Amino acid sequence: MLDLSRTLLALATGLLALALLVNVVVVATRRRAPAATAVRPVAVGRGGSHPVSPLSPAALDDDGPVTAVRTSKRGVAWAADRSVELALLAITVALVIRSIHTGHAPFANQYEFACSFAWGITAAYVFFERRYGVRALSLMVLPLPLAMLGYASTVGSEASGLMPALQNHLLLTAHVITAVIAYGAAGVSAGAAVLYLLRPHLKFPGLPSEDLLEEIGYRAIVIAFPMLTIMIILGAIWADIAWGRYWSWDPKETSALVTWLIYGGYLHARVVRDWRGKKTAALLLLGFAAVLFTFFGNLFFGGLHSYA
Amino acid sequence: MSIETRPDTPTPPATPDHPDAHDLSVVELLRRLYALFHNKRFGLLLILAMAVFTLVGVLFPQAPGETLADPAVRDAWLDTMRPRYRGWTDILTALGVFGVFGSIGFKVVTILLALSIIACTTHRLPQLWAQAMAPHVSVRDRFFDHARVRATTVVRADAAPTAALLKADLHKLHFRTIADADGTPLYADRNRFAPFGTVVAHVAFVVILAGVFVTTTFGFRADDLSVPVGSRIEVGRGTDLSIEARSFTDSYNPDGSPSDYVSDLVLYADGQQVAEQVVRVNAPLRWGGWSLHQASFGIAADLRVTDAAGAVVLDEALPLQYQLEGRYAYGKVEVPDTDLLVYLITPASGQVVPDIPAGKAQVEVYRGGTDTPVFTTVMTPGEPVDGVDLTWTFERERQYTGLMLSRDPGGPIVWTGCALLAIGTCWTMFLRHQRLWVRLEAIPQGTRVTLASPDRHDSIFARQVHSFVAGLGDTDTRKK
Ligand code: HEM
Repeated sequence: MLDLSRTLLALATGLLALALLVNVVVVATRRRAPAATAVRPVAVGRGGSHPVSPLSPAALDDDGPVTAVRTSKRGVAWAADRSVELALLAITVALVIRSIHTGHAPFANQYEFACSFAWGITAAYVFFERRYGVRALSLMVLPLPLAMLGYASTVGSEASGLMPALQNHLLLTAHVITAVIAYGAAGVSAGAAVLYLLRPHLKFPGLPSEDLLEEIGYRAIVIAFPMLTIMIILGAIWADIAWGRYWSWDPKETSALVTWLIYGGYLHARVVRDWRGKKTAALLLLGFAAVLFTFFGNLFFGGLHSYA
Repeated sequence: MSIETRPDTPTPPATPDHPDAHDLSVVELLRRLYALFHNKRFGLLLILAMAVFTLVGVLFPQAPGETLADPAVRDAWLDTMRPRYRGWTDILTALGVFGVFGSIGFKVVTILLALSIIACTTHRLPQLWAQAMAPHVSVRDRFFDHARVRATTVVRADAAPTAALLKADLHKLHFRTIADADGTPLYADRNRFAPFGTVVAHVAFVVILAGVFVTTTFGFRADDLSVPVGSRIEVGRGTDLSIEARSFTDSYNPDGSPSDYVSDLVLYADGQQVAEQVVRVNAPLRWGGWSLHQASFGIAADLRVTDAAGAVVLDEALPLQYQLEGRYAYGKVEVPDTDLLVYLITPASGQVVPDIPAGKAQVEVYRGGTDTPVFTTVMTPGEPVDGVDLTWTFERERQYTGLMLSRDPGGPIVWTGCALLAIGTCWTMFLRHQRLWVRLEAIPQGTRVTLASPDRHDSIFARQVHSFVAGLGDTDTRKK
């Protein structure tokens, strides 16, 4: 059973790597469309709507019309998207199999959490790719689940029993599912922020506009922030039950709080005039750095969470 | 001092070189402070300042509990940090990095943040209310040319049927519409109460801070209660509670990792049994506002001390809760009504040491504040030994369970705040106030409909607006 789970994860790694490679080629070799065949956002309808702002975000938010977008429906780019979705499915099945085998949600040790993290980022990526169709995002985001799966393959994948403090299945599951969703969405926001910051220096045609990247970064936090909030609250409830106090400034919970404050800062920076733009994008990166620090923090500090 | 208390005579106009020309009234001062606190940039800086403090608290080990308050304990703790921070240790200590969360700076930032949140919220509430209940529905034409989201179409019908059609279609999408006197829609929105989620989130944060304040000010916590199995201890410290441990079991997985810690406990208040429960790490005993948690476990040694007349001066199970060099486990106790401090030392579990044979215990007795023992000997279980005019008996070893007793009046406040925070953030983030201003113009072909929204870049909403508008263009024929 566990072997099957591991094989599926290896398969997912391969699929993600393939998709990433294809997307690199597709994005890097994208050309501007000749004006005649340009996809114009003319809405049909008797009166005809005259969109003076973007109609189809991916295609139209760009500097100019782009061929790569709707030329052949089932080319390699299409295959790349399907292969990411397949990878997501493979990771999902792998994690389900593992949970059935171990009898608890796959969040009990660093290996399981790394795989779940990979799942979270892949899932968030698929969600945003379907919603916004921004292929360039994959160049920044897909390396993350790849790195997580790579990292997972270097740490022991043995199934372990749950430490007494972790033996609260409902809370364990809820606490970590919210973490995985939050961290996955945070990964997407960081990818969007990197693209946003690089955008002025990149000369590829067909990159999404800064506005759209800003929007995606924000939309990812719209998911991540409430999830982080709930995750921290669930953690506090759990700490109150298991350790008798809702907050003990344990390094792991404290660094989750740092993450939350940075993203809170980001949400507010967006509405402060001269913070918009580069500074808010930098806060997104800082926030994700805090996510990674929280995740890998166990390697640096002990504390009550050190069983993870 | 303030304008209000001055006599009713008009103040003479101050000349620019008169220093009073620049003086502030109290009201004006308060007004400026309020403006500072509801300033978004100031609020942002406070949030980030709190993040920085917190980060420092993660990066540097924090001295536990009251360590920093007691110079001797503090120095001992700092010595454990010196190998790591070397010459920086004292500088870092002076900067307060080892006690960030108790530092003045952190407290000041927290209080300022709370004030800022309150100011922001009270300042913004009337605006939100106005936006939801009485939005500015009429805008200039320029607005329609510059709004971020704009879509326009021509419906082949007169203004009145077009207006009716538009309203009906908007209602289908759960937009409410506001129309002028003759029924022409001017404005449409949905989720108009979404922004109030921020009010809930902001209030929640202040409620949580208030709860934490109550916890730290009025809470009770004893996290070092060691109850030997089969005995009962008085909690003391101003409580009338006592705790009995009937049993303790620790169990392990095949790979040696612990799988469960279980104590069978009885709680007494004022001598009466009030609760009994099997307590595990995730299943504390709760009674009358008190919580009793499984915290640790270990070995205790029963020590009995009698005086020359045979009267018992001490009969206690001493938790051997401290470790020395990883090889010895020891416990300490003061003999009541004397200045004697007793250390009872045994080999740590699994350790073989040359000076204390397995199964025996060494007793060391010190007189108040001195460094050399006045009496020391190795004891065999059950065999009394005489020393310093007392008779010492090490009866046996047995397990103790380490418990934590707490009472937290701030808890309910914190949980209320947490619930509000979760609701408030989800409410704000998952709902979105979407606003559209409407313009209808009669043109020869029919009526031109323009919808526009000035709100932030939101391509999904923009797409919806465009397809909605495109659909309107279709509808005029559909209706015919
Ligand atoms: C750490 C405590 C705080 C939390 C948890 C918090 C939470 C939030 C959330 C979730 C939002 C919604 C953001 C969005 O829709 O994009 C928000 C918006 C806002 N917050 Fe806070 N906030 C905090 C502190 C503050 C402070 C100190 C201020 C005042 C300076 C402030 C002023 C505002 C304002 C004015 C908005 C509305 C932004 C807009 O126009 O969309 N907040 N807050």
